[in-house]
Amino acid sequence: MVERKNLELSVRDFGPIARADIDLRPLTVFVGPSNMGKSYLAILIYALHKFFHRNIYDTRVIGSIPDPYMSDGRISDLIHWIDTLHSQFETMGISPEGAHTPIPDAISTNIRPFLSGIESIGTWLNGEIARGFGIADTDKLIRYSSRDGAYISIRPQLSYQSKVTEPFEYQYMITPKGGEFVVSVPDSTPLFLGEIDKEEIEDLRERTQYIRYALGKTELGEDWKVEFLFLMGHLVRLVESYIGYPLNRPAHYLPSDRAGVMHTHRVAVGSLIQRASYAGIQREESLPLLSGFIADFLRQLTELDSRADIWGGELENRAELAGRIERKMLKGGVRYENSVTGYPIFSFKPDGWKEDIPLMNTSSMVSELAPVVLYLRHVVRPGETLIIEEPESHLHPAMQVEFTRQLAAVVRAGVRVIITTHSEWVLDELANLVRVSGLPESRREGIGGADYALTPEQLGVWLFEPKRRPRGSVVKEIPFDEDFGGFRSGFDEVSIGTYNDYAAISNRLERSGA
Amino acid sequence: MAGLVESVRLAVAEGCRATRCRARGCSVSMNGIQGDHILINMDCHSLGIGRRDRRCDYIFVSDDGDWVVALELKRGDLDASYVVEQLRAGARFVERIVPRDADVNFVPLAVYGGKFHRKEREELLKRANWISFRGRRVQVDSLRCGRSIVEKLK
Repeated sequence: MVERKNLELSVRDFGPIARADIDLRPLTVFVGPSNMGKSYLAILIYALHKFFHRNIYDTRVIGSIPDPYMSDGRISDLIHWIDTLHSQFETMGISPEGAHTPIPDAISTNIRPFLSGIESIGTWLNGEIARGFGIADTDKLIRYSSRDGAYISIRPQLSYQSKVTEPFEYQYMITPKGGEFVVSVPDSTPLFLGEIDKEEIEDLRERTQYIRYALGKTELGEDWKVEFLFLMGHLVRLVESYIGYPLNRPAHYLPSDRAGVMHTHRVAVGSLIQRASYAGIQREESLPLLSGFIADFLRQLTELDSRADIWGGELENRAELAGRIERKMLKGGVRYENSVTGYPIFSFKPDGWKEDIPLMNTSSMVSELAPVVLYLRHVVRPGETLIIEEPESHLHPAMQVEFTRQLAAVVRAGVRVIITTHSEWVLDELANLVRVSGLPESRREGIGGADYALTPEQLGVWLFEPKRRPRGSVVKEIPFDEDFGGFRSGFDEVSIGTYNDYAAISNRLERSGA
Repeated sequence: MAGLVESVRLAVAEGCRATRCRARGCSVSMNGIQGDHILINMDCHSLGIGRRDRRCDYIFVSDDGDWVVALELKRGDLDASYVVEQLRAGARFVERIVPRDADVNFVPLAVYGGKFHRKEREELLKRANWISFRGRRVQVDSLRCGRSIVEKLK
């Protein structure tokens, strides 16, 4: 079985960021001083998810079969391979290779041109990035004093048992003249099918039936080409489900001012509705643009009901993740119901109380955690990414530690999490969770957070540091440091600074006899 | 009348003077110091401190501002109880070698390379753990390994 590694993301001259080379792990943490670009990078990642989660490899998007397409002999090979896969599924019920099935080189050769075929939809990517930041033109995102413009590179870390190859890479350049999207698929890149089930194999095989029939005829009409295009499109999507992970899965963004949004969403939505009632009449005053992630957050709040219905069976596990936060932190339940207009009303019922409290009348901690509870219960699924800005907001240090444990539980349940943080408590607890993973489970009893242990590979902590040349922030990984007893984030320098100031004040007071 | 540094020079054997401040994998930079100054290595036998007696690592004396700094260095985490004991011994030594009529700025300084845990910070904030020096109580200051002592002469 081939292991899937993480996704490498390189960013140059983007917003305040001069240079960032990171890889997205199950739990990715951004730390560093304010205005260094932590949220910029988080929003960019969100926009990338929005782009790759769209069905960008749909043949209707690519439009045509890239040249050269397969020879008759190669098509026969393809059909034979799909037949083989089908019979393996018939006898074993699963792919013999596990979750990721290697594609023979001869067939990969004809899939690679499809992968680079999405270059033509670079404007979609540009649009998602602009939407994410709530701006009209992405050139506003080029770092001040940058010579060449902003640059984004995405490299899925493909892990192979035998050979190392040049990387598969998506690159996007933003210049004052516009954007350019380049997909680099070296000929030697081995390809794999992502997770496939029997139904999918049946579907592939069905598509081969007509092609098989057409090949037997002396003159081929155009119909078989359409069928072939659909077959290749299906294969390409299966390949993409492997190489595009996790960006090809949905991401959900909980902004730092989520507590405020929970209090004011009715007003915001009301304003938009009021504006809509003037459709067709050009009004002079303009509403400010909403950033895409805020707009999506608002939209998500109004669509909780339908999401829950779709997912029925998985609800139980996610409900447990949400329920633990309610039991351990909130001491009560977060509820919502649809009003007569269909618009949701959020409330909180403290344990032992008979009546609900409107969310806007609850403590800031409840407002802070309510959207997290709602998202875990109704929105986020395993394999998807949850981005939370400053999870420590409005939380007492003890609650910050507890919330960090609950986020680790979410990661352990298969949800990928990205956080930005300014909290020493959050990082300290993450250090403990990594440290405890070194203990055998039999020896973890009685240790706080032992049930939420994370391996060092599951966690990546990235420090955004200011640099003078080039002016901007440089992002580097800070590994767990046993000698230091945690992550060298620079947070402790602040508390040491206040300690030393206190010592200086005390000593001067002593000398002055005060 | 001799300056502060000159008085200390007279009280300490020449062989006990140091030019570099380094102990247990941790060092303090001496760059940028103004005026006459002296650094005393407290491991020096001629000081008459027994091998098993408590002592800090260095004493730094400067005429510019009449600073006297007792330094305890360690590469790892700051250990409040250990540091306090060492610096108390350093303060007693300073009381012996600095003229009684000299009005000096005494700084007990813990230098560390690892972490300054909150628990240790809380210990050092307790008045009971401040360092007695000539009838006054002085709170321990801190500095990271590799930084300059000049940062503390303000």
